[in-house]
Amino acid sequence: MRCSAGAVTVSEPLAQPGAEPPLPTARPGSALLRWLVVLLIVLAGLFQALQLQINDDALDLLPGEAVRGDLSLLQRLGLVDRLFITLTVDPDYYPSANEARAALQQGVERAGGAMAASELLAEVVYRLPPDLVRKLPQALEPYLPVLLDGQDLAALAPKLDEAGLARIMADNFNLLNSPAGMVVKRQVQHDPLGLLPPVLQKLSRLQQEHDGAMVDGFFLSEDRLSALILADSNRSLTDSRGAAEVDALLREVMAANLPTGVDWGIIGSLPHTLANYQAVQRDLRLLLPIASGLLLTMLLVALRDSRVLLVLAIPFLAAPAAIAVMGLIHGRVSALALGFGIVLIGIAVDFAVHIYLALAREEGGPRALLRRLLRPVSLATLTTAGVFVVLLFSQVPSHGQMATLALTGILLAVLFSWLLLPTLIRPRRRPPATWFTPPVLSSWGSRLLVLCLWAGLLVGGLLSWPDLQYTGDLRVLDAPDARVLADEEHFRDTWGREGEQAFIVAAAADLAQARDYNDQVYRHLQQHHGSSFQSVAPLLPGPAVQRQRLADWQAFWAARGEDFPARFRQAAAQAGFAPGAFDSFLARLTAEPRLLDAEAILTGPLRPMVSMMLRRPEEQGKDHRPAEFLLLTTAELTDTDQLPELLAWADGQPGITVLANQKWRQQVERLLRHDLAVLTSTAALLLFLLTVIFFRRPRSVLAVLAPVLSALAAMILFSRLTGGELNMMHLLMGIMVIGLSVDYGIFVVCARGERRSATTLLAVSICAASSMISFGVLAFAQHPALHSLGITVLCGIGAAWPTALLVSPVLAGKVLTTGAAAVPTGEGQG
Amino acid sequence: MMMSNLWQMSKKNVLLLLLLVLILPTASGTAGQAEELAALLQDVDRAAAEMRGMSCAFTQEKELAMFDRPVVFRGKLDLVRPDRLRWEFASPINSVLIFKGDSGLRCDGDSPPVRFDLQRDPVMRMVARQLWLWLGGDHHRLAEEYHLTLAGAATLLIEPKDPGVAEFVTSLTIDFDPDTHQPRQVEIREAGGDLTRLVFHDCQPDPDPDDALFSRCGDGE
Repeated sequence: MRCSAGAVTVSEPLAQPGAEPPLPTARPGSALLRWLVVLLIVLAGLFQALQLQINDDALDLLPGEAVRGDLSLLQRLGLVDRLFITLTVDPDYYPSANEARAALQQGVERAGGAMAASELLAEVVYRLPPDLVRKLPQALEPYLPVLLDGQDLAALAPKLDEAGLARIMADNFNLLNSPAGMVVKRQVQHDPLGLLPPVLQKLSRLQQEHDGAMVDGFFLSEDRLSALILADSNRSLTDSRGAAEVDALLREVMAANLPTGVDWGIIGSLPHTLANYQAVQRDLRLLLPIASGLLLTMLLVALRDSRVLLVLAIPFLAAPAAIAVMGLIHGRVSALALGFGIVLIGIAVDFAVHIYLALAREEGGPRALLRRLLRPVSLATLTTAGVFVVLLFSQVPSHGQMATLALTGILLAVLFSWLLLPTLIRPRRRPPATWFTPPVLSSWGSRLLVLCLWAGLLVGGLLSWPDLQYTGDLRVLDAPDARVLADEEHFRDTWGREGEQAFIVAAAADLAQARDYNDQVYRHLQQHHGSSFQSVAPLLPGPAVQRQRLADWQAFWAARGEDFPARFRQAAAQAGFAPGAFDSFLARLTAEPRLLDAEAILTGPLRPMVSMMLRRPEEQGKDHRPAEFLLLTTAELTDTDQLPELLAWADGQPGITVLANQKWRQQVERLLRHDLAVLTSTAALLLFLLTVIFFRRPRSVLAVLAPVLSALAAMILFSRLTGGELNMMHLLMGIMVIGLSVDYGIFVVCARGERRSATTLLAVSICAASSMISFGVLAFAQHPALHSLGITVLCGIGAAWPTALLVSPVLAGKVLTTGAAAVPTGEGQG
Repeated sequence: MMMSNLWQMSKKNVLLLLLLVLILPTASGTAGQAEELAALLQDVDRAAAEMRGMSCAFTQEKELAMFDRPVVFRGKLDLVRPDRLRWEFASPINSVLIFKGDSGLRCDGDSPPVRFDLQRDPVMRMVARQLWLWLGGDHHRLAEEYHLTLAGAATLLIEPKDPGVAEFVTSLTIDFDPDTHQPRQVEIREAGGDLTRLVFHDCQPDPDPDDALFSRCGDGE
């Protein structure tokens, strides 16, 4: 099957040299109607697009409900928007270590206070109440029966015989007579048996995550030169505007409140968001003007026609309507999908260039030209659209949104170009740039050489494919600057957090149930993970555990006998205590024990520490459903077996979810690799089928697909040579490159043997050069995401372009005519 | 009318005069006390600056509501400024408490010694802090946290400003030796009326004690 309509009668006269020919659309009313229709669509699109809701949700970049659910949970816990600020004092600034520490604590107090006063931050934890040591026993004593577990009681039992009681009372008596007596008097009176210390020991679980100690309510490092401030941001820290706002606040607070010699560093989402934003801004500020300048120069020099700017602009008129369609289908859309989708609409510029060049430089009159172009343009549009239809089925929500935008945009852009360009473009006599001569391989030797080189490229790509790894770790697209890395290293050195962490979340509709689940997590970690975990379970046991402990408590004291108070009083008297010294303690011991009131703990002196590990439904943002109480446990993963064991255990437990970077990476990689394989294969199959249906001849099919094969092989080969890792940018831009390069094949094969083939080759070359300049310049970006994007396009189009010019014609089986034959003599040639 | 006004004025003057009579001796007394307090503190500071350490025997008498009778302990205090202190009871039981920098050691009878870190043990940190405030000889630091009043020629009454501290110590009365300006007797009044009285005697200034005194409770430790 021939692409062009061979039976077309070229009845329209050629434009005469030296005279400006009339516009191709004979009827001005028709042109007006076309513009009106297009403008109506644009305006309607604009109206709808302005109502679009854009989000910066990183979850849209990830595949699979499970992964997104996990990360959503992390957001609900507040961990994504949490700030970890380390203040460090340089001891050289102060005459003594004590003064340095005092300056550090003063800095924490003042900066923390200023942060807490800001509406941008919530839950700023910088100092626990200084009277916590005094108040804590009073807060916990009423709940000792439900805070002590069976092991605690078992350890106490042997100390309560006659000799044991005598020893305890003698110790208490001596302690009261020591210089510490004044401070511990109340404690001895209220807890002479030392029931509270095991509970306090377990409260260290609240701060197990970091090395260091609580000093005067400040959390200080082992060397006492650093202090930690934790805060939750009310602004999204994965959004550059929110991050910049919070960053500005912190800079102002620190500058105004930190004493001399005290410096600060921050880890978390904020520095990464800002570093990436700044890196992208830096790259784009430098590279965009270069790319724009090069592109315009290339187009003006090659085409010598300022109307080419219209050619570039018309396809982008489709953007508002395409954005509107995307919004109607997907509701809230990702900013990334919007940005990339608009870039992908740029593919349609290629179609506009073909239409423009045909109208401006081919002979035969606009109607005949458009009729001849109808088939290759339709075929190319169909194949490009096919690629994006496949992308609609991606498991990554932003890919689906992007595909919708690109698909709608490309279809509309082709339609607009088809309708509007004929109303603007008149045939011109100026020839293509004189330097452009379509390459013609006439000798068998040169054809064989080109085919061998091409085959070599394909074989290289084929052999390299198995060595490629897809990485789902979004950190490969991260660009932290030196300061961010230094702060993270300082944080690890100071607080001793080296390994990865697992976040175990207990979730339930009510707090009591969530606490029960959290107890299960605590028990499991105690049995299987030793000491390296942080939990609120010792302080907030669930009702089930409390009921069990109450029963244990009552059984324990029943076993001590009814005469225990009398024996206790006797031991106290023998040690020298007054008869009623411990009456209040004995009254509490024999009173009916009560269950712990969680609210009392949550509003008590330990609230700042507990609040970081508990999220109520109202604290999780408005959009999050279902309404659940979340209790967080963090565990350090010191062994490779720990995470699989935890995941396997949590799999069978209701209300318990294990979150870990390692888990997400594996899941994301698996899903994206699946996406990559399935989508690429489907796109390849679709392209192949469409090509077979339309071109039938195997040689033509191969010629059409040759640029695609070259692009894929070059991208694979380059990735293999530069480390063998593919990331999300490679996947997205790879699909774009396939969409572009298949069009090269279609246009070249459709033009084979015709007089317009030189124009086609020029159009293909201009399109390829435009793409390489626009995107390829990003290969020089420092930001890894932009670099990946640029290098993919550079490699893909860099291989597809010469293949379309040299290999496709040879494979198609007919020699393309030269430019001299195709282009009428014009002014450029005198 | 005029007479009435004059009477009113003279009545005011009389009242003013009476007030002045009442106030003046007090004011002069307060100013005098302040001077005497400053002089005493200066003497105490000077003595502390001249004397790096001291070693004293002491008798401690505790009258606590929790005890069935007053309890008398005898022992010895060794102190080397700025951060070494050994508090040892010899009778009726043997017990030692040592502070050395940020660390400490406690031994009771035959029980194994217990080491502690002041940065990690808030109770002992508070104890050490108060002891050093009272015995450190730096009245500027003391005045930051306590109200200081002269309660006798060489007697200082100190009351905590921080309500948290006042929960367990309501006041201290420190009686200084008029010659050496070292504490001779300390009375600590606690909340609820409990009283601790410490009487120091046989004090030796700058005894240059063995460092092991601040590292071990006894020969065994």
